[in-house]
Amino acid sequence: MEAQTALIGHNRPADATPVKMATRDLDVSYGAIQALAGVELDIRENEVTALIGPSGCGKTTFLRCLNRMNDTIEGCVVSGLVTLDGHDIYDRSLDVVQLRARIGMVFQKPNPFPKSIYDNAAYGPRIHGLAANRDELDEIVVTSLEKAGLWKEVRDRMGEPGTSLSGGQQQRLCIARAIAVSPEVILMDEPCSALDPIATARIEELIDELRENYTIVIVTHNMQQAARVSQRTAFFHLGQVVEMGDTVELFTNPQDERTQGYITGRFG
Amino acid sequence: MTEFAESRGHVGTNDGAARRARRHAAERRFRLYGILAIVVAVSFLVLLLGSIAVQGYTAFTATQIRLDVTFEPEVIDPEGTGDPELWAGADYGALIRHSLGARFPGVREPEEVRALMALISSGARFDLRDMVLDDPGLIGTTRSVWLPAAADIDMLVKGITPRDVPEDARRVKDNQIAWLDALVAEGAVKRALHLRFFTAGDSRTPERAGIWGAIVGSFYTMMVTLALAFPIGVLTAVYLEEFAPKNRWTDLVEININNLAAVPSIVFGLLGLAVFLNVYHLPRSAPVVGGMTLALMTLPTIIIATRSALAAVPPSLREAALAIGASPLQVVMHHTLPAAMPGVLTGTIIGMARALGETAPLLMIGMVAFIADIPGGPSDPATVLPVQVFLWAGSPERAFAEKTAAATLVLLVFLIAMNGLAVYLRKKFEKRW
Amino acid sequence: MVIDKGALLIGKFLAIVAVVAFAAAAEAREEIRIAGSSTVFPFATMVADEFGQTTGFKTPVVESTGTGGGIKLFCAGVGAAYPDIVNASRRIKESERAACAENGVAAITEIKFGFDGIVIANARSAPRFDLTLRQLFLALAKRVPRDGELVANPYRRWREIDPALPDTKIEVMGPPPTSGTRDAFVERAMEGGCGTFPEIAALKHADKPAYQAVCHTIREDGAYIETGENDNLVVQKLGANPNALGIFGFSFLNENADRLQGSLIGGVEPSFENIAAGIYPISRSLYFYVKNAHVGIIPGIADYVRAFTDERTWGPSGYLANRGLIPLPEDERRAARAAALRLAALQPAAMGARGEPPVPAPGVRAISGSSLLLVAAVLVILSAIGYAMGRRRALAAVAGAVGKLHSLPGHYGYYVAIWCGLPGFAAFVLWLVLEPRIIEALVLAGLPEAIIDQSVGGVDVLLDNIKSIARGEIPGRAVSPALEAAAERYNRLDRIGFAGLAATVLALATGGLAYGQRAIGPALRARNRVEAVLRSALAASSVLSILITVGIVLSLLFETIRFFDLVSLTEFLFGLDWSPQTAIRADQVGSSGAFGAVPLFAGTLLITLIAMSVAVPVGLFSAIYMSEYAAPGLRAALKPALEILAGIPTVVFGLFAALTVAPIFRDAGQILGLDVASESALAAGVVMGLMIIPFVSSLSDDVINAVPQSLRDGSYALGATKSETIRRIILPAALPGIVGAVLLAISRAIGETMIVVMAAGLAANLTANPLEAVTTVTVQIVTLLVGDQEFTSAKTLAAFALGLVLFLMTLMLNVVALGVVRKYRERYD
Repeated sequence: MEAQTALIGHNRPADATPVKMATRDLDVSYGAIQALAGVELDIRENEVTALIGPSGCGKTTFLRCLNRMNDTIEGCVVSGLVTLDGHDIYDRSLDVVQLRARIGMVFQKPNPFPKSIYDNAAYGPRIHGLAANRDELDEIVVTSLEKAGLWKEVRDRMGEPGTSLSGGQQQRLCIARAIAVSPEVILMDEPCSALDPIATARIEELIDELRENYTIVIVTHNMQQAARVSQRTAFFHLGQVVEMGDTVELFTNPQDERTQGYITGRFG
Repeated sequence: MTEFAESRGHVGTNDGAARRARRHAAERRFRLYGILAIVVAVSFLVLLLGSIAVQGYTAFTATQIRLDVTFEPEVIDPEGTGDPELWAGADYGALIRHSLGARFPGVREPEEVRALMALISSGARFDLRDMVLDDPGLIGTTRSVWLPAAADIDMLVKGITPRDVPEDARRVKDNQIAWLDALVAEGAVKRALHLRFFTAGDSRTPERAGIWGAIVGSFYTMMVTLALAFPIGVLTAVYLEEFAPKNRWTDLVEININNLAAVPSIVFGLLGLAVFLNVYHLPRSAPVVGGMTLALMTLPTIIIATRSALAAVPPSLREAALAIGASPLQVVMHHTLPAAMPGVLTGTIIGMARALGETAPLLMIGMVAFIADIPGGPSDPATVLPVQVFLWAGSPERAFAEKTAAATLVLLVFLIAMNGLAVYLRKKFEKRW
Repeated sequence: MVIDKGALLIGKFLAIVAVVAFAAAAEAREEIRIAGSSTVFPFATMVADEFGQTTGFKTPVVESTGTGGGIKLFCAGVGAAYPDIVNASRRIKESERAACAENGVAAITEIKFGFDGIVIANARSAPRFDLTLRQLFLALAKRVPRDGELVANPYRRWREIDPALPDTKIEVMGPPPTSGTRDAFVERAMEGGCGTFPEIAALKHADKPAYQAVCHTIREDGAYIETGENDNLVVQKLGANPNALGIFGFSFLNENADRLQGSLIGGVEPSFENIAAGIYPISRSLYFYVKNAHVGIIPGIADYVRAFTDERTWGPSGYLANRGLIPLPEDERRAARAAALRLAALQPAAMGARGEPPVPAPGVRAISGSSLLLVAAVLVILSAIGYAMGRRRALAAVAGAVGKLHSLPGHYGYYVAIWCGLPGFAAFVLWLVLEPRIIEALVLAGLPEAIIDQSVGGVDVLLDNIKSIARGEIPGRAVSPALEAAAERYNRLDRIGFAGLAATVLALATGGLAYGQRAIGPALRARNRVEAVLRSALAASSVLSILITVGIVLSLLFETIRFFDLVSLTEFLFGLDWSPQTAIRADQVGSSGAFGAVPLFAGTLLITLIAMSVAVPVGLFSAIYMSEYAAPGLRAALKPALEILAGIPTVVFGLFAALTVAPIFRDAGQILGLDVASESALAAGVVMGLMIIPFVSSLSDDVINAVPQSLRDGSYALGATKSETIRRIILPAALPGIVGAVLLAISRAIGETMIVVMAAGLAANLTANPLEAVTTVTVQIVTLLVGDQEFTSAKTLAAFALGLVLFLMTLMLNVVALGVVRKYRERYD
């Protein structure tokens, strides 16, 4: 535990941006099963933070804590501190709806709504009332589809069901859907795990472009991907953060032998 | 609400606190509608069940009157033959008459004697007969016997019919009340558990009427219905949803099935009459035919529910099974159908519940009938619980009102048992994906 | 695997059920069968009960079918399948007797057994009425004379008829036009009052139809409230509404004297003594009819009739009188008793002691159901053996190395079992269907032509008779030697046929077994073969629904065609007036009848709309709450609890609607200054809506629950609230299933009768006002089918026409609904 705190302190890159989200002493359990124990992590603005680690180590659980998606799971107990811009997001008076509008999420499996492509992208703006009229809504939809790099492919078939797109397109639609609400943070849970290399490359490019405007947290099993897209990486093991630091440094010079073992493929 | 810095995208848009408050209000309203709906439905259910229970619980007890009955040999076996065959035909009413006569020696006029006799159930003589046939040793002895009171007396004792109205507005007259009060005073009147209600078949004498015949009839009928409607319904739905080509023929079948669901139940009765009775000459009033007729009625419900449950199973599940080399039939039987089972069971339970409560189609095939004997099998004449409720509800005798409610309670127990089984099965199968 | 096995087991079970059913068909009958009037039912059952208790015979089975339906059954033929006795609240009509004779039921014995007084009563809390027949007529007729001409009945309050009467609204609850009670009331009371107007009385001879049209037609503007045949309900409604009067049988007044008082008619009280003495003017005779041909065949008929006509039963101090039957005068009783005893003399000399069925002549023996059962059982056992053998052989072929087999060992087992069972079963079914036809043809061919030509009622009746003789239900010598010979021939052929069947089935089964067994080898694609069979079984089961539809259409079609011979199609489809007040008995002619079905369909629509506007919101919100908000434990309890609503008998809902909900609405209406009829579409619709909640809630809950969690997550992650997610994502995704659930609920609402009869009445008003009484198509179907009128009258046939038209209309609705759903689904899937 002390080592971790130290790590966070020591590996701060020189051009460090402000901390956007932070967790302190975060414990999560599902009934009797402890999923996370004492996780302390800082997520910095306009950076891509990658979460790596073997399956079942608590990456996804951690991610779902950041926008309180764990609320929807029966029997999930969260304790500790999670902050967004210094405010506790588990504060009882906090409005989850507003929180999630600020922290978007993209899931492992593309999950477009059974609606048209347009309606998928327009869903968030509609519920949050982000557009005053149809023109504004069209603009939001187009912009977010453009940002997600999907616009050119779907501009002629906006009325078709989102489910009719290919897997990679579906995932970009889900990203566009998340972007459309103008979140500050985007959480991505293995967004490329169901995609082919070409689609994956498209999404990775996209993540890199999005970094300019958004803070991104991405869970991935793919070490190369983490190395390619992220500036900062955290290694999770058995519900704890073993090591956290600059991506390049973590991959070239891991401090912990568990991290080294994992990234060199000796276990996990 | 915590002051939460408005983020850049949201600054200047109308997603202000007011809008969020509105959305949350809408959320609370929506949830309230849900609660209201549940409250309406449940309170109606409770009200209904409560009113039935309040009306019906009295039928589980019955008034009995203690008499000292002498089993006179000269009445039971006037010729002294000692032949039990003849004892069965003896006038056991005379034993009651003599016993009452001994208790109230002043009553001599034929009219009065009849009124006095009317205190005791007209069926009590059969009870005495059965006692003698069971134990011939009784003959010649005097025993203190609790005999069932007549229904009119029972109603009076239970306070269901009033005493405080003019004599001409009462079925129980002043002299009868006086005799009854005399019997009460000496502790010869009690209310006891009315077991006969659960063990006897139907009778036109309220105090002798029981529900067992209808329970047995309902049981056989439901068994036949379930055995036919469930497999055929599920198989049909599986075929239509999983195997049938999507063409005009399947459209026709689908529309046709939806339409069958809207056919009034009595029309199924007409169909049952035409096919099962007139063409195949199956026996009238038999649970087999009732069950088959109700199965026809229940089929559409099961098919429709099963189809929508099957349609809701994600395609990925089928693909996964197909991918490991399962045949389409194995996919359905091992994966799709078990995954759809909760919905299938819901359809089945709703369809069966309706079949259990249905009377109209049974009218046509002769099950709306007075049948006193307990059916010994699915082809014996029988009636079912809702028909029993229906018939008792239409009987002039006041005492049948409580029996009607009590029979409904029994029907509900039946229904709850059936539901319980379905709930258990549903729980076993249910999952969210 | 388990389910495969289950499917096969179920198939076997179905076969067994079918066989049991067929087997049961041939059994002879030991108990007396009685059908007919619901008015006679309480008395007949009382006698039947006593008869069963005090004699060695089984208790007779008494059906309550209505007089018309009962006579139709009774007259359908001679033999165990037809009732022995019919109860009637009116005399049998000549046309019915003719129909009877046509079917070989020529000799019937009529027994009039008493009177039923028809009383007009109200709650004891209200003042007692003393009415004249003339006042009754003025209060209830559709048209009344005023200033020398006939006008639509203008009277709304009793005082307007006579200042001496109370100043209350005219509200009279009475039976519908299909009822014998109504018929008697019209004839005794209405016609009696009508005759007091000289101008109408003059019509009687000049223009009888016009006279009866005036005298026999009851108003339909709401003052006369048509209720169902449940007199208890009327009794209880009167208790709740002191202003109303009710018309029903004396026995109900007799039982409820503490709540009700009978109105005096012309100063005469409706007491037992007055009705018996004939001083009280409104009463009618009750009858039952015995089929002479059954006496001595079905055990106990003569004894039953003797018991019925015993003084202790039907005399002035008999047990029937105690329950409200008005006995016949003594001389009539004596005459009827004599007729009953003559019936006993009809017993064929061959009859043995009581209760024993006649012994069929030697050598004459029908094939019993149990031998069929035996064949089926052998077939099942052979298939089971086939399964075991196939499995074993497949394993043996590869020396236990299952991997070398193309399919699982069990599949080889099923393969052999199917080869063994299926051909045999097919032969069995074919035999069940064809054998009777073939034998009938052979027997007929063997009969002298003269007999066929002479037979009354044609070949069918003749065959029926022969079969009855063959089963020993009619002693052959009571008919004719030729028929007896035919019966013997019938049985012989039956036995030969059966032996042929047994041999064929066994040969097919063993042959199939051997073939299947030989075919087994590691390369045999057993699974594919077995599955092909199962798939065709699946397809076959879907054909069943089409067969049901065909059956329904056929069972409605013939009567419908007959109906349209009597009533024109345009009048039926577009007529705005539903008033089936045609005559029930033979000597009545002319009273009006109108068969415009529009008000019925409008009423159906109105009540269904009300019901759905309760059931859909409550059911859907319940479903949403259960699946999205409630804790799992609560959901597990709530769902089955609501499902109980679907299974409560509708009689109970009906009573609740009529006695609890309707008065609440009426009182609320009074407070608001609205005129709510005591029977209103609203009360019936609301209660019906509550009843069908589970159809919406449970089925919707299932489909909502089946919406993938990932969609919810996607929506929540965007910051949608729960309700937004439900409204915008979940409900649209679940829509096809929800639509299906709602359609099912609508179907249930259309088909419901009891609630409507009890709470909304039977009056066919063409109105969109939910506060008025309306009636529905299904209610009319049931009422018409169980009425006391002749079965072949337009009134009964209308039921079939209504059924068919309703069927076609819902069919069209479903076509439209499917189109809509499909369009919607295509957009989203």
